[in-house]
Amino acid sequence: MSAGLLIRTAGPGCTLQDGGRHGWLRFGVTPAGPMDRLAFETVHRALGNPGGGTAIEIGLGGFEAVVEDGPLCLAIAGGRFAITVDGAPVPPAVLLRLETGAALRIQPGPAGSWCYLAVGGRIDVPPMLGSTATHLRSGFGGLDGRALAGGDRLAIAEPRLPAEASGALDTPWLERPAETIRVILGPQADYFPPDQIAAFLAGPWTLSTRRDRMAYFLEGPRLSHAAGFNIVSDGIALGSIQVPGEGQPIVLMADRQPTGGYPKIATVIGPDLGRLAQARPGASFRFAAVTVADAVAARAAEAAALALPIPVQPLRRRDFSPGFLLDVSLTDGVEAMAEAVLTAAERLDLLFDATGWTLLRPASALLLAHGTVMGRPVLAAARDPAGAEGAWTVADLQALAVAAEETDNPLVLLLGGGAPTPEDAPTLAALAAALAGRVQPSLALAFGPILGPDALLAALAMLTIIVAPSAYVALSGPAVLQRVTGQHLSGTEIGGAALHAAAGSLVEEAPHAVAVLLRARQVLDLLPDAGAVMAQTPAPPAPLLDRLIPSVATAVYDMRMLLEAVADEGRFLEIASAAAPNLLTGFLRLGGRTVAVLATQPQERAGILDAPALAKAAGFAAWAARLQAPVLTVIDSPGLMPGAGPEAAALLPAAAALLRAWQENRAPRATLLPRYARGLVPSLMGLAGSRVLRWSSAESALADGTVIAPAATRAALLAAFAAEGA
Amino acid sequence: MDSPLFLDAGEAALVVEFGRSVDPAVHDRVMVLDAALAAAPPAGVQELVPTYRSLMIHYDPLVIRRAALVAAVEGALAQGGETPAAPRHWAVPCCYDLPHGEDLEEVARVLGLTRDQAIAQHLAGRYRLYMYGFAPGYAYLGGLAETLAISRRATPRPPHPAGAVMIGGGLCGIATFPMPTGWYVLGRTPERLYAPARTETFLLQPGDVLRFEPVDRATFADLEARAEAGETVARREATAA
Repeated sequence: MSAGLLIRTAGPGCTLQDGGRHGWLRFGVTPAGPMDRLAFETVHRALGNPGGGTAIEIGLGGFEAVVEDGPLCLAIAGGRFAITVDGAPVPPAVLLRLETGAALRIQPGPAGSWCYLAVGGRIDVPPMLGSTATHLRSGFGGLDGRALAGGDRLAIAEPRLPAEASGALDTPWLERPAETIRVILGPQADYFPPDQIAAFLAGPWTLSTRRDRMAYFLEGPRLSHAAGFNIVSDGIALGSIQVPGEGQPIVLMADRQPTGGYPKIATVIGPDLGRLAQARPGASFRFAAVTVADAVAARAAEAAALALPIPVQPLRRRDFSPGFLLDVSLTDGVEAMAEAVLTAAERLDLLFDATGWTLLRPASALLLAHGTVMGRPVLAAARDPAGAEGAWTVADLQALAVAAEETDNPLVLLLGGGAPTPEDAPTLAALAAALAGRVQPSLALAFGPILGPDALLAALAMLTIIVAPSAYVALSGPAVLQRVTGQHLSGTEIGGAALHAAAGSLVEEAPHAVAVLLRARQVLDLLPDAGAVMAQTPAPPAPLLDRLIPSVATAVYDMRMLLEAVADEGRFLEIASAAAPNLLTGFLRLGGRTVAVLATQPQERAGILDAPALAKAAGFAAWAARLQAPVLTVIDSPGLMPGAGPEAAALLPAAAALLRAWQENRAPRATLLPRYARGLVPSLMGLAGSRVLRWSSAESALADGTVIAPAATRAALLAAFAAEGA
Repeated sequence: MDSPLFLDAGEAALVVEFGRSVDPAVHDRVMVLDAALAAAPPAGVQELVPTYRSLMIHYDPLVIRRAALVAAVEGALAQGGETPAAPRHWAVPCCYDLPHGEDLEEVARVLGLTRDQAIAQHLAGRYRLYMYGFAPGYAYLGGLAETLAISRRATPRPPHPAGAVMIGGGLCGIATFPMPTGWYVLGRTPERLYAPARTETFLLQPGDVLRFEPVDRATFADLEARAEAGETVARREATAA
């Protein structure tokens, strides 16, 4: 059997398209063809296919297929869709060589409405009137004139495998925000008085949910015609904007009707049609009038961009799939992985996205790597665990400080192995200089014993993730301890994860190196980033908040349920759960924006705060302050633990550190009070300077804040952060 | 004679507009230009779409600039004259009997005619194919008797078969492919208006003149079988009969 793609699922709006059914318009035959011609041409070019061949156009319904009798080479590009191969994410514009059985999944991602999949070779379907383009309204083209569906098999004729095996396609021309859409006024602009043309250009226009391959409906100012809205029908060009009687424009797209009887105020220029097509319902934009010469220049620029070869960046880590990782963490592979010594390059491969990473300077004991994690730029400083390159030098530490300063990206330290950083005067001076600068790592990953200056670097991180039980973090190790004090203690007994957690430090443990790196990816995905907003913000499942607080006054509940009920996608990422579990720290997204969370946990010590809890809160709040991240605080706590001895003594400095952290964060903060907020806890948790929301069930002793119904919490928090300009 | 307007429908389509009404004289000028450009298409011109009152020229602006296209059109206008070459005349068989004339009784009732009067008035017409539009192979025919002018339906009726002969909105129409319609189906032609194996994939061209020839159900079945076998059952005629 010849190679093919067996479609498992195809959402609505998934059709075969080629360059279009041209030459038959005079007989009323609409050309159809791709909604985003530039993306369509890009995928063919990436494969070295002749232009205009058959490709799969995928809409917001998504698409899943399996390769049969491969190998096959595919190119995918268009909007920023979420693409996986056998569950492993690949970049949104990608060239893939897939073997028999490989499962491809394409789902809408953060932006864009259409995505194109072309195959090296030819999708073998019979043409109609010289074209395979699907026009659903007339039942022309594609597979029997219909949309693709699960169970369809597309045979690939003359399969070809280009030289590049797999890689990310570097296609900057596909980044096209639809803020301004250029138009040429006419052909019936004279059916509108000048002030209506001005209103049309002023907008703003919002893309309606009413849209398909035929037409995009717009919502905005109501336009009126100078004298009626019926004309004797004439031809409709691709991108024509017709204004029917109700005054809301309609942009006619690839599947437009060939003629029509409404006045056409303007026409979207060819190069901006794909830009508009990729916008999602709700997108807001304006029209700008340009001349024919301007539009032709834009076409020429587009053609020039496409004429160049498309750079392909190799993909790394092809076997890094969730299935692989599941095997690793659930079977005896755990021990194998725990004992396997990954090279520094392998660690970086696992940390970064499949697009890979680049070294910022020649390799030495310090590998300074840059790449993306879940699409976000990240800087990583890794030690060569084989230690072949010796210890970090003064030059290494200086390079680290410079790179941290220049990129201003989250920094991840991959520590462990190799020779410890020497404690000589020049090195310590370089270390001091680096620490005074902006070497403030987000994450420190401890793969082995971390001692001396390295431990100091790790302690600056928001979170340290330690391979348990082999790794530890301490200023002095067992050897020094024995020499100085005569005590025999293991490294874990001096600086293991459990010890740090008990003190309220932001530390987590993981069973092996792969798990550490995966956890780092999870945390980096939700790390606050100024201005970063995810495009899609699905609401959490229907909240049960009205029933969350037990009717028995002393009964407890899990605060995480409350946080999950208000977060986007119902997702709360807890950080350092083992440290002081009576105080939760972590992140959630609200309306697409990451918010740092500090919350008392009623089901641990009734939510009473002690010294480790305050230390944990102080560490996390200080870190949020450093990022100027928005903060949500949830307080349901009867108060502070009355301490004795060292415990009581530790309370005060921790409390002071926490108060200082609030003073340093000028980002918006909100406090939610579901029930008890007693004693000094509200003050310590930063009530002052924060917008206070109080459930109707909350104790009335605290008069502050807006009273809200529990079910309205998410909406109220969204409004609170919006009002604060988060 | 007024010179036409050159209107831009974006940077890749030029509308040459001869008028703003349905008028055979205006349509003649459209067809003259269409024929002149089709006979010697300038490089970069991709498609010509004649309508009631204008010719839409689709072009590749990276091959031919607007000014050069306008100059080429003006040259073609100067050479083309005012009246088109004699149009092709067709006698198109049409069966008004049930099940083909699905809506004939309804039309007669609405217009206050007998069934035979409606048929006779439809047969008396000489129809100019002004343009295709709305859907593939959907031909708009002008020349319908005023007594047959009927408004379009408020809501579309279920799809008609291929070859449906319809009236609506003061026009006659002939459909190549099945499609839901707001028009009224008077009858059906056995002719294959679309035949990919034939030299003329679509039998009828804008500018053609049609009359209908009544056939009964049995003749319809016979002609349909012959059309199915590849024969053209509509007849070319030397002049309008």
